[in-house]
Amino acid sequence: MFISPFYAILVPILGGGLIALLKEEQDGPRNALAVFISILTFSIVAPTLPLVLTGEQLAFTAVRISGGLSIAFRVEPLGVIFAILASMLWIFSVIYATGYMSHEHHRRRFFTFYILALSATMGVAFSANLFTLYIFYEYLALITYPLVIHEQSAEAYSAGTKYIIYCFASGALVFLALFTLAGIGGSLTFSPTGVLASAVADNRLLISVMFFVAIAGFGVKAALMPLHSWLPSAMVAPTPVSALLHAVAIVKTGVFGILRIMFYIYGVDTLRELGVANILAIIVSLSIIVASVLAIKQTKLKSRLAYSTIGQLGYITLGATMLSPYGLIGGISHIVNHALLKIVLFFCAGAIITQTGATHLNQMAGIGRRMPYTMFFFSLASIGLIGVLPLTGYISKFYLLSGSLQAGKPILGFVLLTSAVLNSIYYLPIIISAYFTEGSYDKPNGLESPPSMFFPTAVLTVFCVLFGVFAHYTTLPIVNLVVTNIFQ
Amino acid sequence: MHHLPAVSVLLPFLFAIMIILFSRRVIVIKVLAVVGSFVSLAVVAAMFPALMSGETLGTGIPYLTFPLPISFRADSLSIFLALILSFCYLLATIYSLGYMGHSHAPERYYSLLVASQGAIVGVFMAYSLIGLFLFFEIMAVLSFLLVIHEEDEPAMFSGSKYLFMTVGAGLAVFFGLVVTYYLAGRLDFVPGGYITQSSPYAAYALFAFLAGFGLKAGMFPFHIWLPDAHPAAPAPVSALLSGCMIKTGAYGIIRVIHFVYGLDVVRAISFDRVLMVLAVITILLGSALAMQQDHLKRRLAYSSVAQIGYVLLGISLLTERAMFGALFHIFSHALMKGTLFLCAGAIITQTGKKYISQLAGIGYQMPVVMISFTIAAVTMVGIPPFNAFISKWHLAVASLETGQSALVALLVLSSLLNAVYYFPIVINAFFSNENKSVKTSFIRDEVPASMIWTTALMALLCVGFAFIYPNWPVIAASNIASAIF
Amino acid sequence: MDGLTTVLWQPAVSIIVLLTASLFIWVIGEKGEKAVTAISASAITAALLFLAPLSPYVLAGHVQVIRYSILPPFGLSFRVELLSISLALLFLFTGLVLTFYTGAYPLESGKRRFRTVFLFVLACSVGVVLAGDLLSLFLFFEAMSLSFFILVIHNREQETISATFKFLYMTIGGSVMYFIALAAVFNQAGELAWRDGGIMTAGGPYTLLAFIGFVVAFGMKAGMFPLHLWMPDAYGQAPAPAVTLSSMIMLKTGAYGILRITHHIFGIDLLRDVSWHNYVLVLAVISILYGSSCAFATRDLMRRLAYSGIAQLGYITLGITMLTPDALTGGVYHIMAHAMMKGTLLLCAGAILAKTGKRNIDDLAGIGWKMPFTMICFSIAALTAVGLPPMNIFISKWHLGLGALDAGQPLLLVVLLISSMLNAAYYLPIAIAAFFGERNHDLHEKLSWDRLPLGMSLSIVVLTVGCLAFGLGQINIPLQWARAITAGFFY
Repeated sequence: MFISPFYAILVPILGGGLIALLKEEQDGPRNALAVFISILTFSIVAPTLPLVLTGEQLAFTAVRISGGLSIAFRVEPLGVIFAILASMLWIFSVIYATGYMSHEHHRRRFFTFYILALSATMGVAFSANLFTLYIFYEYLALITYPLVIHEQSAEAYSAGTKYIIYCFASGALVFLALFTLAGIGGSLTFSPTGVLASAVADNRLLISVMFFVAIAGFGVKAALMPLHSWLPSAMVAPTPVSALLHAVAIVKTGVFGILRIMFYIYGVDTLRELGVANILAIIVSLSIIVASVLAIKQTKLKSRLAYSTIGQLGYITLGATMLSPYGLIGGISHIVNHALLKIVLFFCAGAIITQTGATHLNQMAGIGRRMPYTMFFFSLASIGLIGVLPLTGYISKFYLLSGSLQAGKPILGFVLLTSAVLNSIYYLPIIISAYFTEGSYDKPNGLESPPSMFFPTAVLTVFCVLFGVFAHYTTLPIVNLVVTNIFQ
Repeated sequence: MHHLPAVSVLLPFLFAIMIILFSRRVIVIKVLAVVGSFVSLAVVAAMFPALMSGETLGTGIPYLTFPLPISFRADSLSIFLALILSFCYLLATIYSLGYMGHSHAPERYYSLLVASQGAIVGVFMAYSLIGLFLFFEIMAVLSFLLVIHEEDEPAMFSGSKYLFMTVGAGLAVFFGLVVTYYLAGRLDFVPGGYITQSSPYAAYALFAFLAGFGLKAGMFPFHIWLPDAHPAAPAPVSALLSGCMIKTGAYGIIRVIHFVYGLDVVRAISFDRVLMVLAVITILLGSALAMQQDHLKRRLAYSSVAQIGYVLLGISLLTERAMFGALFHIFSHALMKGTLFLCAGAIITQTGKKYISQLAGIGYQMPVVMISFTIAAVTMVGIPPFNAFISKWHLAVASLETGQSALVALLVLSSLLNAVYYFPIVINAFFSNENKSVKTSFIRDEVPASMIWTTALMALLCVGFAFIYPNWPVIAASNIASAIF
Repeated sequence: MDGLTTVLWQPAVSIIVLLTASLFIWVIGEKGEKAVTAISASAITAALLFLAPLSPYVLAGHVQVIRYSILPPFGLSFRVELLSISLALLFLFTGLVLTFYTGAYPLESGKRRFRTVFLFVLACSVGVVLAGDLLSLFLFFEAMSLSFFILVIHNREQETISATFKFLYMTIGGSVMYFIALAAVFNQAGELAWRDGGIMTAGGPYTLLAFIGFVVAFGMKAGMFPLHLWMPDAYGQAPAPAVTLSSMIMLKTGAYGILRITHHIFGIDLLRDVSWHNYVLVLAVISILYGSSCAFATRDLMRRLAYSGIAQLGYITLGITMLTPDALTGGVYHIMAHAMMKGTLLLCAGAILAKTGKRNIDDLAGIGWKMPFTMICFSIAALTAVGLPPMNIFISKWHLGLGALDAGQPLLLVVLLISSMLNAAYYLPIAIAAFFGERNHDLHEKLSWDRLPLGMSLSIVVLTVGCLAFGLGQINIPLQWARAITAGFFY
């Protein structure tokens, strides 16, 4: 029996090992191998999509630990969304990294951990219970630490320290919730309807408190304010890492964890009964607005993108807290949409840094002359985040707004709209200053950035459009499936 | 025959275009202007039989379709007014040959003059409110351009004042039109009117028309443009503005209250009362202000305000005799005020003097002109057998008939005021004490012949119609008045 | 035409042709202006030729909705009907005229970018009117609005950039409101497509939310008070062709949107029930008076035209929100009439700006003797704007007035008249001072012709004729179409 989650986790681990064996100078083979492994992982994961769409689910228990704990995997819709998204974007990131890192030091270490992180992400995606999720969650934090400190500057070390402290604190909180809930509810196996329904009556307060503990735990990685401060600091990492941190792997595992806790452990009915989602909604709303305002104040491009990420992740959580089908569709599809759009933005930022050295916004005046296409991709992705049709962001925004109305909480809709306006305030000036102010940049000779950086950005930009225009062939069916399962 | 109304309107425009096209030589322009004016007068005159027989001419072919079709038709009222005013136009055009002899932009002046003749005939021949409005507006723009012909500061200022007020008048009329159309679904003219139901909307419409047409006519309180615009324009244009154009306002009111709204509606909303009060104020105010003016043309302009008050008064009484008086006064005032302005123009041409106080002894320098002036002034006062006497007589009788005896006193008072502000000019011209030493022997007027002859002819006609038999203006006016009631 | 059984391809293909052409212009843009004009013109002509043959079909009252299975959740759809087709044809026609004008207009730099975006905006505006549901409309609407900023910012000066930001932020604000309205409609009705009589069934907070959202979004585009703030600044800064494009086409999409939602989303029955349209009506009245007054107060020609546009769009909105057939006829007709009138004025102002660099009205005295052709056309358009018969605006005011009476509100007619008066007050002095006045006396002899590029003269002439021709003609096709459109809404 071919159990894909297992291989999806195993292949990157083995691949990471192989890369570690190659010498620092063997760039060609290493690059090829890294790309090959990510493609291979993707091709293992991809067939699960049609599988779950037909309603089938695969389950596989790797290790049984006493006390009902087990390391188990399951192929089910939400995990598949995350797995496919991550493994797909990993391909582009790796290709991009080969170009970006070509003049950097410690390439061997970089790619090794880069590929290993993929396996941890796959583990998170396919984990069948909270315990397994927790394990891979911690594993991911460890693996990404060397990536964060890659520059090995003082700044990088301090950012890395902050990162690891936040991660372990977060892990501790998750761990606390994990065991408490296991004690109360018995099972920690994810179920679309939740597993705590029967236990609520007796332990109402404890379960409510544990909700916030667990959310705080995952909220660190999801950069939920006020637990976000590691994220802007971690911008010191090389751009491919930032891209992954923000767009795909780490922050999304946080959000993914929140979704798992909310809907697969607590369940919609329990949440409604406890009323905790409303409190979370308030926190998230504030997080969104504050992050957006802070983003405006940033003068470094990557910092601005970082704060933007904090706000956008809030969308996802906000969609979840609405406890309405449309809201959840919006939230989950925003995992995909935000990933696509944000990774393009980071790729563009990386291209700008490597090609021109500009890191601050005021250095970017007139850069549209030097990198017209890169800035064009940047423009498209940023207006996509604002929610402009037909770029992919509008789908999630549409459903989130509908969800807020469906849930009878139009105020949440207005939070989203305010954020969209703030988004435009911090993105549009970048575009305008790039194209329409005078700067010291000249026209590029030939291609404006190395092909390995240029083409992934271009292709992903096209994806941003395609995933918008053809969302009902790509994201929406499986998201609908997830939501239907949850709101049975 | 039935094509004549349309031809009479379109022909002047055709000539105006020809003037622009052949603007190289001034002589060609002048010939075209006079010929154009004459030809269109001839076309209007060709409708004379219909005027006498009371027939309505017109083909019913719609020429424009915005948003209602407009066709040209002429009943006796149209022909009567068109005939008088076209005649004045011809004289003014000929007068212009001399007066505007060395003016700038002759092609502009003459083409506008001829075109405005077409517009004014169009006002009468377009046999519906909407057509009337169309030509009303065309006339407004054209006459504005004529007023500012001199392009000096006062002309520009008073021209703009005129333009904006007349645009406002047009909009008021537009308001009336829309409401009328809303009420009736039509805007043509039917003797006796077709809106017989009184309603607030009908009142809005009628008073909007009153404001719009009243402004055009120079009625109080909308008269304020007139004393500025008339003096600022070149003399022939002043003559036409005062003699002809303000009459279109009175014409519009006649059409509205007799051919669109029934008299019942008019009475029900006290339209006639309001009009009468305004007419009385207009008469008194115009006369009083005229007295204060030292500027000759301004005095004439204020006099026009007073005189149009007579016409409006005649209309407001709503009787056949009063209507006759009003119509006949349109005719007589056109001639006499035309004469007076032409005289004023001649004085300016020869002496450059504009103020009455400068005119002592002018009768010796310009005997023909000042004799014409005297005739017109005497007519104006209403001394029999001159024209204005007839109109005032009938107005007075009509006032008594309707029980408004106070109006008779008004008419007498106004005539007196007329005398007070015209006779001193005449007396001063011929019998000045101060300037006795200057000149006591007559010399010939030193203005171009075309000006002398037209002035003299017009003055003669002020008197002459009393001695012509049959006196067709009287017959026509009484026919029209009896047809209306 | 056997359009009932076959799926009409024309709308999609027209837009694709236009978009492709704009891409093509970008690619070859540096090569030559003539080629660019030729490509733009032929693409627009092609679109015209595709869409024009549909007119007998739609005039017969047929409606077809074409749905493409992209752009979830409801797909991209086009709706072929009289309103859409007539506006699309109008936009394309004016776009064609403007193409020649723009081709001849002396832009300093960035012609390639300007003309690419120009055609792109045009394509999107055609898409807006052809779109068959709220989401498809939104797609084109936003693309149009957002790309328009590239035309505004063309000069790249400091003031230009701040004007652009104002425009952009307000546009974003508008689309955000549109978005919430979209969601509200989706929640209440479960669909987003146009339907006769509306798809909203009952009033309520969400319905009101939707109404407000749409009014803000469309009202912003239409420059409705108090959402007009972007307009005077943007118009003051953008090059003349961009301003003209906005005024003739883009603004109309706002009015069009209000028309659509009034009749096809909310439905007049519902609106009469809840009377929300009256709020819009009040705003329209304020826009009319405010726009006219501001136009009167400003001395900058372009800004004056911009403020006047606010007032004129107020007419259209007024016509729509009075909810009477005559008023709607007037409003729809005014879309065309205003395009011709304001187009002429703007093209003339642009010609003056390009030729002399003057934009302050005080500097324009005597310009008539240097640019007689331009100023004669300007004067004609100015008289049209005042509403003099037999020109176009007279006809729209006529119907608007009748509609106001029909709605029992003669005061609205008075508002129109006051605005006309103000129109006269702010346009006519320009025309007068251009030709007349003492200080211009010596200019008479120095009369010289304009020497405008052919494309500019030609487009000015076409629009001026458009001001005059329809009122003078025996058959007023736009009026007939406007009546037919109205008949379709008040069945």
